[in-house]
Parts: sequence; C-alpha cells; structure tokens
Amino acid sequence: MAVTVRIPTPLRTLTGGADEVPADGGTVAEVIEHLEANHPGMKDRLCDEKGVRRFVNLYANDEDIRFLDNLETTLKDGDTLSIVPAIAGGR
Amino acid sequence: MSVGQRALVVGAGGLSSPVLRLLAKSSIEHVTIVDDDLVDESNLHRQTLYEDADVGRSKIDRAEAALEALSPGFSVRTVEGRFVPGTALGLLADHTIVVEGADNLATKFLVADAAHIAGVPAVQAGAVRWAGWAFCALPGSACLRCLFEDIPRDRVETCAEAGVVGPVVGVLGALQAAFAFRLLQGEDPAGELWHYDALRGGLRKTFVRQRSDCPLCNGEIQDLPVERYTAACAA
Repeated sequence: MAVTVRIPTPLRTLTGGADEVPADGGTVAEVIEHLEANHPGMKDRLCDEKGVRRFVNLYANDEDIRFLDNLETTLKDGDTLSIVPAIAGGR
Repeated sequence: MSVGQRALVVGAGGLSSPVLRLLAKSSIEHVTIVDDDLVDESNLHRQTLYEDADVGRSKIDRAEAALEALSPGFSVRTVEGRFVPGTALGLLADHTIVVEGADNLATKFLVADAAHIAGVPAVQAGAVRWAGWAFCALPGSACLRCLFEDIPRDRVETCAEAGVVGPVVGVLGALQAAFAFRLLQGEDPAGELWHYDALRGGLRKTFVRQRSDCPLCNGEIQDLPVERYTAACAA
C-alpha cells in the first residue's frame, strides 16, 4: 500500500527537510519499517521497546491509532499517516 | 458573555502575548499572569507584548503595563514566579479557566493535572520552529495525558533550544484565545486538538478521546508531588 506520511518539523532533519514522504506498508508497523529503511533513525524517534513512544501520537487519517489497532492498524492506498510529537515550547 | 470570568494565564511569552491582548479586549473580568522571567532582546520577535525599552525588565510588570495601556482599568494581577506544584491549586482556586503558555512539558502536564483536580477548564498549546498544537480540556473530557500520556524526559525540543517563528505562536495563541472565548460563552470545545504548520500553511483539527488507562481521568492522580514534575519545571 502506498501511503503519505506527514513529518513534523522536529523530524524533518531525517527526511532532508521534507514535510511529507511516501511510504509503503499495509500496517502502521510496516510503514514505520519502510520509513526506517529510507530515513534511518526514524523508527527510534517513533518507537521504543514497548511500541509507539508515549509522547508521540500517530494518526491514521486523523484517527489516533491507539483507538484503532495501534501498530497493527491497517492502511490502504492513499491513506495518510500523521506523526504528532509532543512539542514543548511556547514562551 | 464573560462577566465574572477570571482567567489564570501561565507564562507571559510568545503564546501568552496574543492571549493576553485578546482577553484584555474581551468582556472577561480579570486575568492573573504567572511568570518569573525578564524580557530578553531575543524574545521581541515573537513576544508582542514587549518593546525594545522593556529589555531587562520583568515580563509580568511590562505585561501589566501593556495591558493597562491597551485596555485601561482591566483587572490584572501578577504573580512573579513559576507555576509549581506547591502553589498550583491555590492559584487556580478563584479562576474559571487556565490558559497555559509555558515552555516545557513538565509545566504543561502540571497545569493539566492541577486543572483536572481543581475542575477548571484548561487551554494549552505548544510550539517550536514552524509548527505547534493547541488543545482544550474540560473536567470530564480528554486531557493532556490522554494525548501525550506522560512527561517525556528526552528528545523534546523547546523554543529556547530550537527557536520558534513569531507567527506560529501568534496563530496558536489566537487559537487559545478562541478556545477561551468559546468556553466562556458556554460552548464545548473539549477534546479539540488543532495542529498548525506554518511551512505547510496548514491548520488541521483532530479530536482527542479519553484513554481508558489515563491515570488523570481515572482518578489515580489526585495530588501534585514535586518529584513528578521536577525535571523540567526547573528548566
């Protein structure tokens, strides 16, 4: 499945500045593996040994994957996976 | 619409500058501003409450003066210091809403926890570089811990480290003010999460749902021990 991944600004150093990248995979986990292959270091920024890091949210077409099947959430052609990390600043 | 409403504003920086300007021009009765910082020259591009002549002076004092000039007679109380566990609930006690514009996630979680315990609606935001988020939580709705679960101890950039573009905090602060106005008008924006990306030119809304294992929503968090927030509250 060909999906589009929205990359937040803190992670664009891994994508050469791109705010969106294409990726393949039938599940969120597969997409993350594909991202890691093309943008090394991405997986570590998104996941730890327990799964998706607690301060990172992944949205499959605007739905939080924690309320779907988490890393096993299925994706289809044309879907969008959005990465939403905790952003601290504001002062 | 806002008669008798009192807002606690945590932080007097980039996000809070538009928030305070807009609240001062609303019919809200009062704001209390909490901050411990001095105006620095590097703040001026995004912290629009301040001018060159304010550099080196107390932010809360200059914010109070700016609001008085903007809206004479507007009720402002300033509290010099950080929003910390020991004073959080006391500060929230006589306010009907808290609007948070702090620069670290520990304070953001402290505001979320304290507001939930106190039963006060919380409007929160975060911004770094070209993007950020704004979120609204009401008692009984999804909270910041439903969104980000717990305080990250690493890998999270702040404005001080990465910088932030002025219009980003301008837009997100205005969104926070809009949340506040909607709440004070009796509307229910609970759980709304707005994402703004200035580089993409995109503003997007999603909804945060309550997590069944959220310790704050489940009532497991009922106090504010300093240790829970120590790392970054001191940053």
